[in-house]
Amino acid sequence: MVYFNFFQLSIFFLEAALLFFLFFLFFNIISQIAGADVGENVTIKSELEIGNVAPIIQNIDIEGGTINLNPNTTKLVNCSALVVDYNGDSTIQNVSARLFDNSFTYASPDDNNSHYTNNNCSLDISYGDENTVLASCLFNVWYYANAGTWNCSVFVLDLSNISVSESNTTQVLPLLALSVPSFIDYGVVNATEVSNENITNVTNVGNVMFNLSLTGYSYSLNDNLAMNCTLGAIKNISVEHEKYNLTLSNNSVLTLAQADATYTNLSSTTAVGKFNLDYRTNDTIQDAINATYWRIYVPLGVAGSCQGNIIFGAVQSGAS
Amino acid sequence: MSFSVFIYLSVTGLVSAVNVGISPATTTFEGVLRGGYSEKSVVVSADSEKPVLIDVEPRGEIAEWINYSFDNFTVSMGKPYSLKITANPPADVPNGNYTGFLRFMTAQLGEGVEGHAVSVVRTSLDLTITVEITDIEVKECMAYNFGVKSVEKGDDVVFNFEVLNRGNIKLKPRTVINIWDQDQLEILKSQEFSDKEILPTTRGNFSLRMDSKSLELGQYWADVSVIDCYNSQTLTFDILEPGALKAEGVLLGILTNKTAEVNTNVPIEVSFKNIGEKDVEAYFKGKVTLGDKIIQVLETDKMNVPVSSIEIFSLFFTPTEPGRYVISGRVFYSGKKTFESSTVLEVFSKRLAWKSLLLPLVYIALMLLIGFLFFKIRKEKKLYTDKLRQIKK
Repeated sequence: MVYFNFFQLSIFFLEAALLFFLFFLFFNIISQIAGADVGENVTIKSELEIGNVAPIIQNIDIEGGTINLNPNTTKLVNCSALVVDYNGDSTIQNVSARLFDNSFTYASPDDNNSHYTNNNCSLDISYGDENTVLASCLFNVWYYANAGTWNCSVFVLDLSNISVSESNTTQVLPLLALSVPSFIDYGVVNATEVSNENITNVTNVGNVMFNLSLTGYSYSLNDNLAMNCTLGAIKNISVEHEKYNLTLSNNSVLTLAQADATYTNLSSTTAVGKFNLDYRTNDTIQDAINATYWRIYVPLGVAGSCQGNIIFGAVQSGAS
Repeated sequence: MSFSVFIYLSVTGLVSAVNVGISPATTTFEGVLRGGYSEKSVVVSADSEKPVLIDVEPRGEIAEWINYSFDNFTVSMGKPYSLKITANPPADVPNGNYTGFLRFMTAQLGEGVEGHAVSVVRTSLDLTITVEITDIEVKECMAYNFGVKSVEKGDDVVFNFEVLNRGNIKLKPRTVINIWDQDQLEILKSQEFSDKEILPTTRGNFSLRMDSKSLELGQYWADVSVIDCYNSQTLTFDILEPGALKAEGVLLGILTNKTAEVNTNVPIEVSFKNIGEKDVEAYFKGKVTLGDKIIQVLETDKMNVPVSSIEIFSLFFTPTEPGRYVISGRVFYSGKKTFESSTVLEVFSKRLAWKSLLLPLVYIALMLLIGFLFFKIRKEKKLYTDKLRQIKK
C-alpha cells in the first residue's frame, strides 16, 4: 500500500515537472518568435557600437622598403605601425608582429632564416594626437636571413578585445660576406722544405652562396711573388711555391713534388675556385664553414722572417 | 719544432678577422641607353669596431663605364657606407647584356710574425654588375610628397614635391599649377613649369614659386599636376595678413559602422583636429547619398576647437531602404573648409535569420520529446496500476 502511494506520488511529481517544463518552453518559443521581428511593429534596437570601435592600422613601414643585413651579426629591423583608435590610444592593449620570409606563413615557427616574432611591440602614445600610437616592433634579424620578399604582419588588440591585423612587405637584400683569419702563419720552415699543412677556415657570414677567388703577391699586385724575406741571397719566395687545396687535407710531411701533386699553386692573377659555400641554415651551430689547406715551399737562399699577402675573394655563386 | 708548429696552427684557427659584406651581392642596370646614365647603390658594412679601409676597383668588360663616388672609404660596425655606382655606357656600344665586377678589397687584416713565414690576408668581395644596353627610350616617373605652406600677402607661394625618374632618359617634368578660389569654382591663376632636369634612375626635389600679389587674403586650392608622371594632387593654402595667426584644421575622418540594417539608428562621428595657431569655431556639413540621390543633409552645431585638440561631431542617420550609402562632407572653420572626406555604409534589409529560427526549432523538438515522455509515463503508469490492482485482488 505504502509502495503504491509512493509510486503514485512520484509519477504525479514527474508529470507535473514535465508539464511545467512544457509550458516554459511554450512561452519561450512565443517570445523568441515575437523577438524575431517578423512584423513591422517591433522595437528597433539602436546599435551604438561607436563606443568600441576597432583600432585602425594606418601604415606599416619596414626600414623604408629594403633591409641591408650586417655581416656576422644581427641587424635591428624596425617594423613600425601607425595605429589609430578613436576610443583613445590608451585603449590599445597590445601590439605584436611577425616578420617572415614570404614563402613561409604567419604561423610558421621562429627560425633565424625565415621567421621572427615580437609579441610585445613598444608603443609611443605621445606620437600624434590622443588617438594615434606609433608601435615599434623591433627584430634582431640575423645575417643569414633568406634574401627575398619578407612580410611584416602587425596584430593590434584593444581593451575590448577587438583585434585587427595588417601587413606590408619589404625586401631583404642579398648579403655577400666572408670571414677568414687575418693571417696564415706557416711557422718556422727550413729552406728546401715544405711547411706543415695550415688549415684556414673560410666562413660564409652573409646570406648568399659564394665561390672563392685567390690571389697572392708580396710587395704589390701581380709581382709573381708569394713572400719577401729579411735575409738570404734571394730574399723572396715565388708565388707558385705557396699552395692550396680547397677540399682535401693531407697532414703528412711532403716533398715539393708531392706537394705539387696534391695542392694547387697560388697565382698572382685571380683564380676562382668552385667553392659553393652556402649560407648558414642552423640556428645553433655555424654550419657555413669550409676549411682550406695551405702549404709553402721555402727555396734555397731565403732566411729570416718572410711575409706576403693572400687575397681571399668572394663572388656570388649559384642560386641561393 | 713540431710542438711550435702545432701551436701556430691552433692560433691561426682562432685568429678572428674583420668580416666585411656587400649588399646587394649583384646589381643590374636595366634598360640603359647607349650614352645614357643609370644609378644604383651598394651598402658596404663590417663588424669591426675599428674602421676598415676599403678600396674599390672595377673589373671586366664594363670597367670603363662604371663610375663610383669614391675610390676608397672606411667602414666599421654601425657605420656602413652606401656607395653610389653609375653606369655610363659609350654611345657606340651595341645592344645587349654586359657584365663586370666592382671589387671591394680590405686593407691588410693582420701582421707578420718575427722569424716565421706568414701570409697576411686581405679579403675582397666582387659585386657582379650587369648592364643591359637598349635603344628603346622609356619615359616614366613618379611625383610624390606634394606640399605647400600658407604665406603672408605679397610673398611667393612655394609648392614642393619630389620626382623619381624611373625611365632611361633625362627628364624635365612638365608641371602645371592651377590656383582655385575657395569654392573651387574658378581658376584664378595658372602657371606651367619645366626647368629642372633629372637624370635617369635619380630623384629630385622641386620647389616651384608662384607670385601671390594678385591673390586676396583667404583660402585657396591648388591643383599641382606633374603631367609627365601622370601624378597630381590638390592642396590648400592661405594668403595671410602679415603677422596674422594661421587657422588650419584637418578632417581626420568620418567614422561609422561598416554595415547596418534598415531602420536602425546609425551613429556617425566626424573627427576634426585644429593644427593651426589659434582656436577656431568649427562645424561639419555633409550629406548622405544613395546612388545619385541625396538622402539626408548633415549639419552639426558649431563647436569651439582649441589649438592642437581634436573634437568629435556626432550625428545619427536612419536608413529606410537597403543599399550602399556614401556619407561625405567637410568641416568649416574660420571662413575656411577642409578637404572633403567620405565613408561608405552598407545597409541590409532585415531578414529572419537561420540563427533566430534555430532556438525555436530546438524548443519545439524538446516539447515534442516531453509530450512523448508524458505519453509513455501515462501508458506505463496504467500498466503498473493494473498490475498492482491484480496483486491486491
